[in-house]
Amino acid sequence: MDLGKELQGLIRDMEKLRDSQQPPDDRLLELLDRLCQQKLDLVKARIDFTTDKYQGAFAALKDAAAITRGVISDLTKLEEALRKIAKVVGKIADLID
Amino acid sequence: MRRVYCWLICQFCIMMLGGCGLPRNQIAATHAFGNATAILGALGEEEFVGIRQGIIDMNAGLLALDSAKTTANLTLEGPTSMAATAKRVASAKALKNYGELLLALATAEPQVGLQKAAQAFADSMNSALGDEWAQAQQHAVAEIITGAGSLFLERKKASAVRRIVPAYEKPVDELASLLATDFSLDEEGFLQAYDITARRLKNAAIRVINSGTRYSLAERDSAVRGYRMAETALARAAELQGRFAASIETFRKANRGLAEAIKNREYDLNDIKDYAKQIRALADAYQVLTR
Repeated sequence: MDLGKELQGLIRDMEKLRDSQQPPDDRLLELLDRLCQQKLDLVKARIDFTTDKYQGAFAALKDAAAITRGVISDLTKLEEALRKIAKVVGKIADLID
Repeated sequence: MRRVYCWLICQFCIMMLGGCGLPRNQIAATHAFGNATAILGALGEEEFVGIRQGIIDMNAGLLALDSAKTTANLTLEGPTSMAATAKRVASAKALKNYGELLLALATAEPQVGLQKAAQAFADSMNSALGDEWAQAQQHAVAEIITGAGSLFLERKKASAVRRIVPAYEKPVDELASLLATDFSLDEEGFLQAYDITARRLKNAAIRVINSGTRYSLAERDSAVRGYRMAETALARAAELQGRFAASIETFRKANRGLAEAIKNREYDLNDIKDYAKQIRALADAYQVLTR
């Protein structure tokens, strides 16, 4: 259960989604920027992966990653994906704090 | 008869002074491994400083492009602080100095040059490993530093190689392992931080570039420069990861191979030859990689 690796995967998928849109959605760009910052912050934070917060963030991340992959071919789910990614950002922020 | 005795004594002295060195294949192995390791360490040393500078430049570009970024929420150097960089540079330098010491032991280096190389290696191991540097390993190098005179130099060199190579097999493998983490895009090290910073800058640049006429030409110009910088960094990171990963893997095999070759004269030197070849390819590629 590696939050960093899962996050890296979500970032790649969000980039694919961004590159498939012209112009890209501002909210997507904003969330992508936040996740990149959090990826860097996670290294310094030395998180304990046995905590409930970690497990919760990981589960939210898996959930968001699954829907984001689907949105690349079906843009109708974009709003739902953005909501789930925003939830991930909040959970990781909690974890880092 | 007296002339024959003199001749025999001279021959014996020559044999004692020049002889008892390493066999030819062990010299070749030590030389090839030492040379390649010195290059690998030097490239690592240069690249750690380069990665840190690259992150600073990209974050400066990000500050210029995104008005939401401030000096309060964005640190220019990111996770590559001065202290973190210095630690990595010390490890790469220790690897480089280890290679140079082996090179000095395998070539016709005079005593002074050898002592200098041994001292440089001892200093860099102290910086890189500190207290973790075991006493036995320290002694192997200290003997070269304190060894006086050039009498029986070849014999001393051979003895030093036979002591140093097995003693340092594990510590230099650990240094290589640290280098491997920092030059992987899948591990939380320097190259990954460089890659993520580039992705962030690219993202900020795309916001401006792909938004039609929403931004001014001056903003667009700044975004294009940022985009170019980010794309170059991403390509560089991908190339560096592949090259360094392959080089470090062959280094590890060759490191074990050298220890075997020192114990066993008949040992096949292919691992060391592959390593030398891999490092030449890395050095060639490094020269053409743009920043």
